Amino acid sequence: MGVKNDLIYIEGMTKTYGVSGSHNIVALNNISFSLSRGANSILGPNGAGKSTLIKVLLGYIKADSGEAQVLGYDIKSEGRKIKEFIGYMPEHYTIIPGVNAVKQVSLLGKIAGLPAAEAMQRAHETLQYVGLDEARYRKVNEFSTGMLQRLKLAQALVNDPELLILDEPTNGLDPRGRIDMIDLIREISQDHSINLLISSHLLPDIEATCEFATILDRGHFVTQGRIDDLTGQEAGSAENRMMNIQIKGSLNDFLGGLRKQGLTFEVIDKVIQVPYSGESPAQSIIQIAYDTNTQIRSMTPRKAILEDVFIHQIEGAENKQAIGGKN
Amino acid sequence: MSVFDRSYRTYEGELKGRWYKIWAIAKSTFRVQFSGKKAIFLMIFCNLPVLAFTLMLVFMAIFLPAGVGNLVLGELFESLDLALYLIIMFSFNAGSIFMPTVFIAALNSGTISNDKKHNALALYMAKPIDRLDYGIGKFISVMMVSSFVTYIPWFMFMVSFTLLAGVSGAEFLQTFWVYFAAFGAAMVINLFFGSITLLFSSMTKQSILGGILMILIIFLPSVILNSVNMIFQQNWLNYFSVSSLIASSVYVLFGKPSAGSLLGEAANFFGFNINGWVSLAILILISILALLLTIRNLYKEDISG
Repeated sequence: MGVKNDLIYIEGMTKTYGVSGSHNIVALNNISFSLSRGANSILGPNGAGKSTLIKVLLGYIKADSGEAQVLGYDIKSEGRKIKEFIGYMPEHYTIIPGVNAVKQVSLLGKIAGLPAAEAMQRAHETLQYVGLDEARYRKVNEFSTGMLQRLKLAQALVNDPELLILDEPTNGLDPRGRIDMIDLIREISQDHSINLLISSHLLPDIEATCEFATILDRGHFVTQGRIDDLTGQEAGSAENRMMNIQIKGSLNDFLGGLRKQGLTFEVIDKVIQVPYSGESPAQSIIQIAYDTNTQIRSMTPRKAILEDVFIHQIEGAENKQAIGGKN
Repeated sequence: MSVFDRSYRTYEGELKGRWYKIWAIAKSTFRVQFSGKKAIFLMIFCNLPVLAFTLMLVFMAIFLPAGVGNLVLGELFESLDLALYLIIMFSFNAGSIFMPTVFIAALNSGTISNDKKHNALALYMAKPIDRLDYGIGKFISVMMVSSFVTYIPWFMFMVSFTLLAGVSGAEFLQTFWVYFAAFGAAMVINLFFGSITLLFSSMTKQSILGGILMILIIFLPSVILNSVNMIFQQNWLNYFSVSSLIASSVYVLFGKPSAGSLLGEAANFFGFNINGWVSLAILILISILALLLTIRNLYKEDISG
């Protein structure tokens, strides 16, 4: 289990929401894990407890039981200290009404404790940094969704946080805006050594920005690790192996050869996908190509993506819970 | 470094303390609430009594420079405390209290409700403050806005009176306490109206609704009381009238003004028949209760990040 100098350390945390008398929803069910310094992500389907966990860490709500530390500070007794070192980008629409962008960011800088002149200077700098320099003096209630996402990132960065918590940072962005935001987040993490904790449904965004992933499901901890390790394990697991092949020559002859060898396949966009278990079928495939006089242009084992890990882990966790429930 | 460089800079300096952050919230809220032509128009309209008296002094000083002292100090007002007492009563008697109330409600009702509407608490609470700090900042802002129909115009009048009416050094020293008495009266009025406005602002996301509710709650008991009092003629019923409570509280803070002058007779118009200290206690207790309920509402508010 974690140690005090972890980025985040959670031990036995439970949070229940009361709904209509005795019927309660367990948002976090006795979860324990720790996050190392670096770019972290929390994944999970709707109702997994991701937002509840972030709210508890920020002190918006109190957990029923358990303990947690952020940057080595206890969330119950040192909440104010924790917030001096973090920046939070909320998921939903949120503005301070009646002010322009630079006033909003500088106000939040002052509330973070920056001296007035420094807060104003940093407000200009962070708005410039996130690409809102030309909209600095516009009222924030006139901003588009994409601009609001950038504004929320700017206010989170204004106090130079040690940990940046981003809740669905690419929500509502168009494809270009999404790529820009991902590049920005990656730059913040890699070039400025700011620790990240990202909660997102968009797994490709997580793969593009994070080093570590923690998966939650229905309030339970499922798994965690380095994303490369998780996807590597997934690609190496017996039930998920697959060979992707591209050929030049007669497709029908080659597919006939695969059938004769008892190999199943699927053709997607001229790529022949051959699932297998146990030994690699590479040798047999080369022989089929030789026999059918076709040329293999490429033959690569498929690399697992985070989505595979996610689906596999969530299904596994749900099966376990179902068995546990029956027993 | 230039603000036009697209780069990220770390911050190594000291961070300021709690009251600096609260003051930042108060100042920012004040600037947002007290802006626009609506605010200026309302402020002028609500301060018509004090503006009229101040302009009268100015014109007297211009057109009757020799007689202004005798006229103002002798025949008209007699003394600073009576002059200011009359001005406060002209602004807050049963007939005219509506305007300052509308001013305070209109300018302050969005203080918390607009933040709720735009989910701004998620931004505030992610910074190193708690909900109490936020509430204190908002309360200070409300007190500042409300001062524009209480202490600020009164102070302006007191200074004009002292400078233009030829008050001697000894007279100034004798009436110096009026500045503090006026400040006390202003604080009680601001506290009462401000806390109730803040409470209604914390109860809804619609600032207009909060303002209307505040005005109704302030005036409904007074209106009902007036109807009932016409039948029963009971003095204690005046405890349900906001203007009576304010009048008797201000009387406690100023002492009974002398009534030997022309306008001094008018002070009798504002006579009341309820205990000033009890009135003061009622106003303060209601204010404290409203503030506690506001803080409770803030702590109950669900922040959807």
